[in-house]
Amino acid sequence: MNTATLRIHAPDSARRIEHIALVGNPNCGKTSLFNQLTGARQKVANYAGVTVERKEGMLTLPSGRHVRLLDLPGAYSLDATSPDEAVTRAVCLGELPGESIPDLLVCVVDATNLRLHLRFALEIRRLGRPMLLALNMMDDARRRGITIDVTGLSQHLGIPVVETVAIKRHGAAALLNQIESFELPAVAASGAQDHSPLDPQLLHQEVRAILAATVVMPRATDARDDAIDRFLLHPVFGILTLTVLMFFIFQAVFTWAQPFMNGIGYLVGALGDWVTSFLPDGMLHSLLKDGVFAGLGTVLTFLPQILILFFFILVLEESGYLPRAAFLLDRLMFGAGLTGRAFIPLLSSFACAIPGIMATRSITDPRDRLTTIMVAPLMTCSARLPVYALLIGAFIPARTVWGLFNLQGLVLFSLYFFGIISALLVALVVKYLRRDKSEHALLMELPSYRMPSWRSVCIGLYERAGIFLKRVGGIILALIVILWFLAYFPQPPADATGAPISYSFAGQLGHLISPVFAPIGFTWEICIALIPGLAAREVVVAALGTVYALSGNEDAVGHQLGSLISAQWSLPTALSLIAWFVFAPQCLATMATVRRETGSWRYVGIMALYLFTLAYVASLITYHVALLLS
Amino acid sequence: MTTHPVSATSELVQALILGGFLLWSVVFVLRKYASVWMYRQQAALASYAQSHGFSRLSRWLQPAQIAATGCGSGCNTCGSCAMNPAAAETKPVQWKTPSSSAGCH
Repeated sequence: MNTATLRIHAPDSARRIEHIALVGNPNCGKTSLFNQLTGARQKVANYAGVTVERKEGMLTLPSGRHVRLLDLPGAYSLDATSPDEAVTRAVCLGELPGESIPDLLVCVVDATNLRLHLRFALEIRRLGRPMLLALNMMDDARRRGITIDVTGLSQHLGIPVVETVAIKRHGAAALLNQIESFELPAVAASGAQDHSPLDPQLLHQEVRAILAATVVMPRATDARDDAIDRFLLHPVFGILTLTVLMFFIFQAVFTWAQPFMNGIGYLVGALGDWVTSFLPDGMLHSLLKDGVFAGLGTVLTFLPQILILFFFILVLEESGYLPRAAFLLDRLMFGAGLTGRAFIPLLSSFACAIPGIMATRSITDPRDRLTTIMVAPLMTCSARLPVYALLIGAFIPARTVWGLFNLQGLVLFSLYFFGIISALLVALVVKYLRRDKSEHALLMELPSYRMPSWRSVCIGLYERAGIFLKRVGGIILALIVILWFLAYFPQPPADATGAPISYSFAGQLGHLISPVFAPIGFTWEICIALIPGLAAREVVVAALGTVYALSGNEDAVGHQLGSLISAQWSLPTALSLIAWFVFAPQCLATMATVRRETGSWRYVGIMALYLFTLAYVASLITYHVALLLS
Repeated sequence: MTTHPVSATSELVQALILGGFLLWSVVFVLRKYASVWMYRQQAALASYAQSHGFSRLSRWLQPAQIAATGCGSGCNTCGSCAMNPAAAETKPVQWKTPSSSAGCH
């Protein structure tokens, strides 16, 4: 690996590097490099805008010395236009409260896209801070026949330049050596930094001059990318491919997961029977059997479906296809008043609304950002998947349609699709309500296609499974214990005739609020389950398991909650609950994130109110239409 | 399924275990959804214990100063978010810029 070392500072009485920041354009591989250098597992993907907040880690130099490393959001310029770019600018200029100015700036550039990335590097160089350039993705550059004179580039820029391949195991070794040997000036740079806006024409001319002297590119773009894009970005075939792909994913979620779900269900049931067989009848027996095993066990069975969904999302993220999907859907999103930049935040919301709302920081215009935040919760987050899967499994027959498709998979696909359509409709309403009618065109970078790294996909799945299990063993368990307590106490009077749970705190609360939800067909048991569901949606499944187990169906729940509810609920009630969950008011953590990102409780209130109204109206219509038809 | 009779001792033991479970659950939920409030209560308890000479108890009660290393959302799904109010209240971006009002321009 080539390295061009340029000593630009006085070697005597040099200071030690204690604090380094990675800067660069979006999607140049900063976070991959950060993970490589620190051993962290921050999220990476093949599109711009994944990192919207600074991340911190420690890297170990070859000498064994530890240095603090910051990974900053990608920026196209120091003249920040979006909140995430503002963080990068503030750190580089030492203006971020509580964050000292880095001793060394490592500017990461994509070696296959120097024409764009060197512009930012030149801006950073003007700051006069100690700096070095990491030419990342050198493996891709070589594959495309791009030749870079590293020594010449270093001389032109006046800073050390080092080659890196952030996704390879030892791809950052040269960078570490370079950092180790880098000598800082004896006196830290004063505040006389030049960060006035540069004339774009002059900047571009300088970049072109450097490239002419140091880089040989056989072709401006990758021939392979162009060939694939001719098909995947075609106005007809592109949309068709996207639809088929999404369709296939949801089919797979239902079809492939079933054997694993059955296996987990069997194991949890058997474990529950075995553990509780050693306990005497009483409170602890009930807590374990009706709370932990009936509640948590039911949620746990949905792990395979979540992992299959995330397998596809991770593969698509790694491949570079997702920004293409944003491009394909831009016309549709633009028509609904959303910017094309909203695609990535909305896509992130399929995992969880919280990272989706965080990802809106890459949206420049505050008005577009607010609209995206308001509609992000309508994307079907992974916490809703167990609820959908339970209800679909219980009420939709597992038969094949048109000789090819699984009906349950079709319904799941339509629910995800319905969430997307709802988001577009809400955005359309916001578009007509707002006073400012100016529109912003989409300008986004399409990354090169890459073969997904199976190691990264496996790590991503492992982490997703860890997050899910941690939720099950953490917040869901805690809520279920509290719910069990409320559903077990007080005990029924001696002459009680109904199920014991009817006399409990939870039972009384369920009966109290059930008149509100009776018009949409919800039973009092469902009403109880909705309350802890505000904390985390999967809890609804666990709560239903606990509530039905305490209602005298513990053995039935222990083995199959789906069969139990299909026998106890009417089809209109089930469909009404499904409709409720398409819009259901967000979990508390999402509300807190909206408060944090907007700095206002007003938007939190508006969001909660509109989601509740939509959920109620959708359930009301669904319930009564289903009643009429059944 | 085998059922076992319940003795008074067994009931007491069960009630104690249950109480522990319940306390853990309530603290867990409060730490997650009212982390700033919990931090303050915990710090106040630690300070109270310190002022009454229970140094070890005070150290044990003192809430941990976890650095904000998660995504910054505070949802703490990954378990790496800050719990201390100083970190949790840090606003990484300014929603209202001087040139815009109410988030719109």
